Amino acid sequence: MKRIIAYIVLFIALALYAVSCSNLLSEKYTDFRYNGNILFSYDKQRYGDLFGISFLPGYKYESTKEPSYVSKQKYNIPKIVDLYMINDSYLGFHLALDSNFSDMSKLVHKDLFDTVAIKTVLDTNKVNILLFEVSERYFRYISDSITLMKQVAVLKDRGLLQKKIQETIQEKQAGIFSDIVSYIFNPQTNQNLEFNTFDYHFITPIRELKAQLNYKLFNRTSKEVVVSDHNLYFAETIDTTLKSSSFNPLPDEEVMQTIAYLNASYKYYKRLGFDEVYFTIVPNPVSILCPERSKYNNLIPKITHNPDLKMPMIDLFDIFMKSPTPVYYRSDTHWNEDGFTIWLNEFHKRVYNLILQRSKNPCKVVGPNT
Amino acid sequence: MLFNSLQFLYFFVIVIILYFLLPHKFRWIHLLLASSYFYMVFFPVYILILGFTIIIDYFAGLYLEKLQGKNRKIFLVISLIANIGVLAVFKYYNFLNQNLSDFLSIFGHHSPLPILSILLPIGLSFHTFQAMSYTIEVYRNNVKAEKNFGIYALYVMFFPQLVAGPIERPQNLLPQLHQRHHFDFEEFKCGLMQMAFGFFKKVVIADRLAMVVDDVYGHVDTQNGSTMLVAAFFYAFQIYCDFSGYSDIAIGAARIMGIKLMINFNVPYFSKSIAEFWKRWHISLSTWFKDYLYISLGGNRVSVPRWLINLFLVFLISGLWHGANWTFVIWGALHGSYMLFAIAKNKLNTYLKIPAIKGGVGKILQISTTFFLVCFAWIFFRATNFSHAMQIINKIAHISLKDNLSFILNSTEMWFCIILILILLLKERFYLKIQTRNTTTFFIVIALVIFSSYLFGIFNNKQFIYFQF
Repeated sequence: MKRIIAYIVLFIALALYAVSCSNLLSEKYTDFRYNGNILFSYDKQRYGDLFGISFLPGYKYESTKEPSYVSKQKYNIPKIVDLYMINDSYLGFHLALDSNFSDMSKLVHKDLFDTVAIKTVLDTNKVNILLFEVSERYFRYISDSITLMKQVAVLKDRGLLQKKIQETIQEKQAGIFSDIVSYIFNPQTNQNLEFNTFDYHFITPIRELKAQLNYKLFNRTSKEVVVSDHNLYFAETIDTTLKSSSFNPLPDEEVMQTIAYLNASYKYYKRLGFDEVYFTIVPNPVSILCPERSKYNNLIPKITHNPDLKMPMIDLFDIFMKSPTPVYYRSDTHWNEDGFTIWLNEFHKRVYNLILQRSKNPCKVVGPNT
Repeated sequence: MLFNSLQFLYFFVIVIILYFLLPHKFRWIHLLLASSYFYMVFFPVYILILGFTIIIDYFAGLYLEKLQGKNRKIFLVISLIANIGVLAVFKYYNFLNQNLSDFLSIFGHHSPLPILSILLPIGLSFHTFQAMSYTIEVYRNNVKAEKNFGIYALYVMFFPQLVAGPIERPQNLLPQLHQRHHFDFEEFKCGLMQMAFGFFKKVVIADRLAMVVDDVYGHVDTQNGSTMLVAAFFYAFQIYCDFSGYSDIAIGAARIMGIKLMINFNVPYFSKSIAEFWKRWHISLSTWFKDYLYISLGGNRVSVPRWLINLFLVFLISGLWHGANWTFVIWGALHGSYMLFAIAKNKLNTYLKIPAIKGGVGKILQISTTFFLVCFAWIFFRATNFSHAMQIINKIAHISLKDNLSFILNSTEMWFCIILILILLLKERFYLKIQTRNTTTFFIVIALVIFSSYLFGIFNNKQFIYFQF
């Protein structure tokens, strides 16, 4: 009997360890759990990512799946738009739903921090749009021309594209030994193990107990989270020493330099053949909800309202400021469905206007039906 | 791999189950592979350094046993040079180079040697000392050379004590690695309880105190004397809980496998003198220095001045062993000075026939004085540099009742820290052992220890302090 128990424990431990050594397998296991029994599912995202870090029960709100206030505007855009999207998690979470970008003839997207550039051949019969979506907390880290210009590589013909793809596959195959080493000694194994061992719905009450006890007794929660009366904020958007913070001083020279980088990147991508390039800086929740917490550095207004800026901006700052309903989750770093829908409407409006401007184009364009 | 990580828990469960499922003849292979993996998780390529010294020491051991006369000494010297050489390159080269550069800059020159940008391999001082104790013991004919290369490699790399000790002796560990161990439930319970309590000391006490200490020592300029004093007091318990917690986990883990490692701490803060403190603090290191350095220098069987120099030198080197920084040297020198002062005081007391204060008051006085002296020396140990340490001492010397205490933790948590320290002291003072004989009680107590470690533990993957050495 003891031997059987030993084998069972060994099997479970080995299986979980093996899964946790691989980020890909961990993700698959996470998806499997998320779609399975609620008890074995996880709460890290269900109630907002900041709840998933802090586990403070007072901030436990299930994320809504549909916009409550803003309705999706329908612009009947003809299927002639190839959209190339460089995004972070703000748009990343919404890519899974096909309907959000179903009017695009093609959607190619890449994570902002993925070091492998999109390699493509532009279809000159289509309207090629490049979209950058960057949250305010990352903007100052990536807004240099080198980072921006290395996101997409436009190739001259399909043969060259095929060759490049082949080269990438060969490079990957050659690195099989390093893949094995990085699997065995994956620095994220511990983090994955913590997630795969403790992030179960049925364990959440114990984690909440710990969080509540430490918060009530010691006024302490996770270092990554700042608690306010109504919201949880990501600490790095508040810590004034970090560039990700809405309250980190922003010198005028940096603004000028950033404008120059954005303009250079705009020119570069236009020259590569894109019909238009759009840029969105999604405000940090604290910039909108609580700018008086400290002295807001006005990053977004300083960039988007700058008269020298050539890069077309999808500016959400003023719209979000005026929004009568919340555009962010109370316990998440991201916008809620209303916030996203506002952006989506703004984006579609821009695309629609772009196509309208191309009046030579014979396609029929129908205005918004709202 | 950190002991206070979930990765270690999984690793340990897998290793232990396989250890007892495997036949005896395969166990050393299994433990050697597990230990290699354990070490390589930190930085895979550094296993090569370990491998280099293991190969040299293994063959040195064989030749030391085989040869006679002067030739033996050659192999001992080769082994010592290899081990100390590795230490010198990885731990002391940049320190010596920097000091040379500072010295030459007085005359307007720069050091011609380049600065090496290398990471210090984790636990380097521990496993090199353990390896050296093997060749020295073989040289002294106290132990036979290990013929099985794998077992010898395992002696150096045995994962529970690989990165922060206890620094084992070959007489104790090697025979146990050959021995057949059966699963013993009583030993399992004792080992598990020791591990759980070590874990509690680390995550609940040490890492909580570390928040205060790190914050205060990180902002010396803005802190007042009273705050610094509390931080200095907390550091004494932080380092104790951190290091003895590590040792408890190491000893407990080995015990589950049926291997008994040497005790490393024995209620050090109740020592009545500095000499006694060193018999109770980091015992495996202090006995190493006594056995292999102090005695080799002649110990106390030499003239009095030479004896005193030997004593001071051992403490100085012990300070340097901890780290390539003058603060560690000063820390060692302070302890050496305490010892010399105690000897002088005892001689003077005997000469002047001053009676020692007896009874409870005398005891309390002796314990408090020793603790104060140890805490004072810890200031140098913790400070980033000498001027930093002097600034702290200066602030403590100018302590005022008007000082406002300001800490990163709120007052409830500060009181919680003090209560934890008091509980720890009471447990140690009365040698309270957590009983494991009754299985039901064992399960209840261990569940409580683990659950309270979870509820009140600080899980920030903070390394053990002694890993850096």
